[in-house]
Parts: sequence; structure tokens; C-alpha cells
Amino acid sequence: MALPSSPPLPFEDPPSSPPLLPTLSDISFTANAGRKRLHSDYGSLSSDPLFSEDTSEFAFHEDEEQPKRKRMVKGPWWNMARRSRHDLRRSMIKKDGFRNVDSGVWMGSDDSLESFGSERSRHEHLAREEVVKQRSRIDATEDDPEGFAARVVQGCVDNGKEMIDLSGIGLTSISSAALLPLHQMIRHAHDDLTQPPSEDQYSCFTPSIQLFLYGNLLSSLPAELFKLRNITVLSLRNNSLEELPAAITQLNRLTELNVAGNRLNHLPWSVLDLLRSTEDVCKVSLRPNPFRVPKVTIDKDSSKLMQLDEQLGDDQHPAASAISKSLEARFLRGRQTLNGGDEDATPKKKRNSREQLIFLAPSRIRFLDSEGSVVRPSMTAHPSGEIDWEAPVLEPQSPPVTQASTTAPSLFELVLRSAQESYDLRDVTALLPLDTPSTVSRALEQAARGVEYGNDQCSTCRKPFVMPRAEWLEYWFHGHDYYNLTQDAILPFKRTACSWACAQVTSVGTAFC
Amino acid sequence: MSAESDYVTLISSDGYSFVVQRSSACISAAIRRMLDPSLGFAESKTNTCRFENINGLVLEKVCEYFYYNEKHKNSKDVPDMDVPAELCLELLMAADYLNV
Repeated sequence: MALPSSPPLPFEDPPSSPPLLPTLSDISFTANAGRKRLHSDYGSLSSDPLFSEDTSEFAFHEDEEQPKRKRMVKGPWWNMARRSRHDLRRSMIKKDGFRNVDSGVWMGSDDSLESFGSERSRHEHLAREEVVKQRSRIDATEDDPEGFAARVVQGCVDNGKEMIDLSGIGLTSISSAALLPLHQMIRHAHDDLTQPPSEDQYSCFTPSIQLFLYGNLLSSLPAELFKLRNITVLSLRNNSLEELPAAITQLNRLTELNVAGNRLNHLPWSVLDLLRSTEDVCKVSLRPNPFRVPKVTIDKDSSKLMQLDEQLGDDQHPAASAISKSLEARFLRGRQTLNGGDEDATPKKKRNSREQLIFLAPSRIRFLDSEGSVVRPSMTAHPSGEIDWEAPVLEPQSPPVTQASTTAPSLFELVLRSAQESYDLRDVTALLPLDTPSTVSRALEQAARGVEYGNDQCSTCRKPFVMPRAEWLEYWFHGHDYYNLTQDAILPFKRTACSWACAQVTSVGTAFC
Repeated sequence: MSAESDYVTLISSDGYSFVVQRSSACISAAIRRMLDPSLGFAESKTNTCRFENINGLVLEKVCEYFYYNEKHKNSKDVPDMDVPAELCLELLMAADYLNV
């Protein structure tokens, strides 16, 4: 901006001389060449207002006997910051005896600590904040890690910092309210005012939030996290998560997701889509985690998969440690379909380096009734209602009662959906009459959770539902095509279905790459 | 009175009676058991079920659901049935009781 700011006077001027007349450059923009505004001048004042600034830097050089002058400034006040700093620097070069004297007048803007025009103080403030951050990072573990996290988030939003580092501060939980300010984040246009804006700074102001939550003690994630669609990097490494919400795929700008070092023993079905469709776009780190692995061995006579007894160690069954032949066969078949045709025609290196997903086997399907209690396997056989997730099942599985295997949702489900729309379910359980069956209150809690995180989707028909009617694990091979089928290369995905008719296992031989 | 008929009568606590198809009503596990002749409940003889804890408004909605379910048994894209908000809790209790 070529502003005709008057340069500081040459110091050889006689001290007693009266203030100089405006220079030519001054005249060029003030048509009337006078300090006073004439009435006729008001008509042309539509754009840049004129105001004067007390050049306090110069006013303090009493020893110079400088005549106190006012500078003419044109343009909005925020341009002052840049110019006054230049002037400051210039005068500092000229004089060693620069004194930083507080004028005693502090003009704070309405929410920040920055007084306008003092770029220096802003930097000082930032530096101080850094120190505070470092110091409180140490204290945070003792007093209030969550409050600290909220302050860090707020600070990042205030400064337009897209990288939010909440790592290693001992968070055990983080509330939705703490992450709420991130919705208001906008990218900083020019984080440094010393240079003219480069071309890439003219991109849109939508931030690419990088949220680092690694090294905490989080066991659950707030619902608000999945509403922050601008998150591009999410690191949840080394936490205590036991389940990854399926809502993770709502973050459709993710380029990096790290959930390694948690307590996950299965992944939501939607992560398969993440691995599959955006494999090139999104980098997903899943291991190490205590994932379930199919526990199988080969029965030598029938070569059928058998469940490995708990008591039998690997020593008695040498084949136990090896993955069963049947899985191997399915794996090879899947790999063939992936490479088929392609291999003889154009064996591209690029294609080979892609990661493959090959369906291996499901676990037993757990069928639930409309209120969410287990129908099969029957409670008498498994009193806890838990089934052995690690035993792969090769034969097809059908629902327990054919009569109930309709695609229509149950009345219970319909009412829950209607309640989600019409009521605030967050604390409805406290208002229920005392004789309410526990199944009803549990279902309402589930519905409230569904409102917060978004309802689960049926993994077969993709319709949202409140109460799952069937759930099972599916084991998939995941790895590059030069990998062999080992326990480490198998990922368990949890599938849920909205009706018994939807409880259909992926067909054998399904593979993606 | 015949042991098996095509229609059964459901009577609400405030005295409204609804005559519905037996096959539709039997998607409710509770009603199915009530009407099972082999179990010998009084309902199976009279083909009439009396619900002391379900009022007419709610029972009407339940009967509507029976036919909704019958209609959409095997269809692919099932539209949601309209459930009035003010009946939600009562219907939830009824659905829990009838196991539908």
C-alpha cells in the first residue's frame, strides 16, 4: 500500500524551526493541502477516513529536542500496526537510546489482550502464553486437565492455530463443551504481517484442524468431536479407548487417523469403508491394539474348522498357532480375484503396493429381540449373553424364529425413533415412573446416545436404527499383497443389523483393494 | 366357540375392542402365547385378549402396527409408521409388554 506517510524528519533540522509544511506527497492526497477539513471536503470522504496519530515513539526523545509533530495517516487503523513497527525499527537503528516507555494509555480491543498497533506486545503475549502452557502442562496432571484443555482449545481458536496439541496432559475425559469453540475456528489470513501475502494465503478460510490427543487416558470420545467436520488429522494414539464410535466416518476430511495403542478389540464396520474407499487419501494407523483374532485349528480328519479349547495350549496342538487351511484357502481365493486378469496383462507396481481387504470369516451372529435382549445363542448356554467372538463360523446362519425375520422395524424401534425426534431424551430416564421396565429405560438411554452420536447404521441396508437386532464380528485380512495371512494381518470389524432379515454375512470371496 | 378362528378380539382397559387378523396379531410373542391352544390359557378358548394396562388409544396404534408389519413384511424400503409423540411412552411400555 503506497501510503504517503510522512517520513520522520531529518534530524539536522534546527530544533527551533516551526513545524514543516506538508510535503508534496501529503498534498497529493489531501486535495486542499490543509490540515483542516473544509465543509466542501466532506462529500469526498466516502472511503478512507483521515486521522492523526500521536507518534509516541518520537515524543520520548526529549534529548533530541524534536518538535512534537503529528503524522498524517490514511487508511484503516489496522494498517498502523505494520507501519508503526517499521517506524519503530527505523528509529531503533538510528538511535541506541531508544526507550520503551509505557504511555500509560492502554487501548485494548474488546476481547483480546492485544492493544492495537503493538505488534511487539502481541509477540510478547504469545511468548508468555507459551511459557504458561509449558508450565501448566506440568501442573495439569494435578489440578484440572480438562479445564486446561478447554483453555488450549480456546487459545488456538483465538489465534487461528490449526494445530491443537492436547497430548500427554492426563486427560481422562474431554467434554463436548471443551471442543465446541473449534466450530468457530477460521484460518488466519496473514499470520505474519512482515511479508506481503503469498498466493497460497488467498485460499479459503476453512481450517484444517489437526487435533492431537495422544498420550492421554481417554476412555470415551465426546460426541462433539464427530461434528467437527474440518478435522483433517486426528491422533488418539496411546489412550484407553475400548470402542471406536462408528461416527468416526462422519469426519469426511480426515487424512490421517491414528488409534494405535488403545484397548480396541474390534473396529466399527464403517472403518472398513474408510480403509476401502479413501485408502489413498486417508492414512489410518490401527496397530497395535488388542484386536480379537480368529481362534482356530484344523481337525485333521474332516479338515473342518474347530474351536480351540481354552485348556489346550499351543504345545498340544501344533496346528493351533497356524491359521487354519480353510481361512488360507479363502484368503488365496480373494487374492486371486483381486489380482486376476491384471497379473498377466499389466503387472503394475503401483497396483501391487495397494493394501488389500479380503473377507475371511464371520463370528457367530448374536440375535437380539426388539428390546435388546439376546435371543440366540440362548441365555441358558451362555448366561452372560456373551458369545465366543473369536470362533469363526463357516456354515450359514439363520435367524432363530423365521416368523420375526421381517425387514419392517419393530414397534419398539419405531416408537424410539419418534421419541428421538419429539423429545429431549438426555435426562428422560430420571423422569420415568418407578415401575418402568428396565428394558424401556435402557432403550431410552440408547436412544439418547443415538441422538448425540448419530444413530448407528445397519451394515447391510445402511438405514439408521436405535436398537440393533443382530451383531457379529467379521474377520478381514488387511495388508499389502506381499503379506502372508498371519494373525497380525487380520482385522475384526463389528457389524450390526437393523433386522434379522438384514443379518447377512458377507459372501465368501469378497475382496477389495 | 371355535378354538381357532381367523380373527381375534383385543379389548383395551377402557373397553374398546379391536378385531384383528390372528396371523397379524401373532407377531406379538405375548399374544401368540396367550392364543396358543396347547398352553390352555382362557384367551385361547374365547379368542379374546383383555389388556388391563393398555388403553384404547394405544391399543389402536398397536393394531395399526400389526397391519403395517403385515404389509411391509418383505418389502425393501420400509417407510416409518407415524407414531404420535404424546403416545410415545405408553406405546413403548405396550410394545415392551407385547414384545413387538
